[in-house]
Amino acid sequence: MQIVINKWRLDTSLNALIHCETGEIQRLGEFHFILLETFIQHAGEVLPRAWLINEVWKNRVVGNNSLPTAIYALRVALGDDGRVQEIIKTVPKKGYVFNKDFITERADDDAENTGAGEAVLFNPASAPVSDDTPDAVAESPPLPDGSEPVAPIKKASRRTKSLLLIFTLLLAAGISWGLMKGFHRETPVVNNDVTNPDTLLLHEEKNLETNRITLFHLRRNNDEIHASQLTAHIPAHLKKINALLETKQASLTLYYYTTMPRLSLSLLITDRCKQQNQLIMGIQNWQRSADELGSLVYQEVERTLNEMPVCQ
Amino acid sequence: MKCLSVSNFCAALLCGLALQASAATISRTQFGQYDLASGSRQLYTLNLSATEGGANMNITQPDRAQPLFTSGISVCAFAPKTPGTGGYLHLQTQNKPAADSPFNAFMGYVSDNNLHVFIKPLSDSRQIVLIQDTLSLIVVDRAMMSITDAGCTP
Repeated sequence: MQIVINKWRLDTSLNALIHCETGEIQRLGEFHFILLETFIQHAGEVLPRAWLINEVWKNRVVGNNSLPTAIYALRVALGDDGRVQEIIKTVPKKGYVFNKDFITERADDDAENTGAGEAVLFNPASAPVSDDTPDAVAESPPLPDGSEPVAPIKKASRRTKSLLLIFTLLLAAGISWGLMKGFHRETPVVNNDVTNPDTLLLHEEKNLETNRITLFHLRRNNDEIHASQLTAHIPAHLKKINALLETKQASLTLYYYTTMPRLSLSLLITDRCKQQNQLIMGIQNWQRSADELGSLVYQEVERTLNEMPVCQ
Repeated sequence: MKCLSVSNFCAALLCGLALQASAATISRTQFGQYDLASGSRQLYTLNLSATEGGANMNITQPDRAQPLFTSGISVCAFAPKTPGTGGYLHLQTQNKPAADSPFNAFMGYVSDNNLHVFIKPLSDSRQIVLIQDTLSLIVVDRAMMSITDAGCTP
């Protein structure tokens, strides 16, 4: 019997996920794989953070970020949107719940037939997003190690109070996060005046896979023809740049403006000491090759990072 | 409990504001001209310093300290009575670039024509400037390029 999650088949011999249609292999770290197995064994249950840490890392000493980092890695690997959280949902103040609707068990023969394309295992339209977490909590059986399951919330008034509290906390966290974001990156005032022909419009291109890159597309008013997105043009290279920034604990804010013959970029690179270097790039014939373009931007980001003074 | 929550919230807010106030500064700006067809690339370092009514700019090559040329910059509104963000960038050259400088043709152009710019404010005392004539983007402090309705004629 094989287990498939959102078109990714679990391969326990490789500690990997294998895509049912493309055959792509994503190897997971030892603990990430154990975490995924734990989630699958307790799908639909709210698993407290402390219990998960104990279950996955046993008696090892782990940092505060180990579990959130592992959860993030699993979400990325499974194609889960960290904001919508369809597969792994965060239950504030409680823990995490793995949506069992995304788990499919298949016979071994079916699983081996990965290239057929008929094995559509997840239909977003039919897969319900569990947005009634308290019910999910109520159905949760006791945890196998005897620890207490999360208590169900029964009274509507208590639920309202809890939601109000969560909302307040999220609001506070949102404001703080916004301010913190401003600390690390340029955060433009997206105050687009579409009636004035002399203004620039700023459009943020969001990409959850490149969390260290903030990317803005500048356009002249009503210039919809230039709405092409750099994130779609060089996605693999942006991911590579993101990984590079990750290793250097740096971040990048990128602004760009396009015309047919020329791509104009302003890259603001901020290191962990909050030093900032700007690289302005004017690239002729930029549409000649997406690969060459992505490689050029990657090389220049790498060069700029390497030339920044070493953080003390 | 309520007091504690409010206190924590205020502390987080103040902490955030304090961090905001110590935002990073741009310590180096480089600009490069690239051509994917020919594989060519030219890289320069742009040094900007704020002055009254504009900025001073000089351009050097990364491996040379001697500036290729130095210029003063002012930005003038081309439609001062209409609220907008478009304007002209006016460069006042203090010394001519060398004859073999790649900026000769550029300076010849800007001595006769002001450069058309669009400015978009960013949240933290900075703005992004699109120089329409050269299709270049640059992030600068607002003090260095603010649109005024005096100082030059478009």
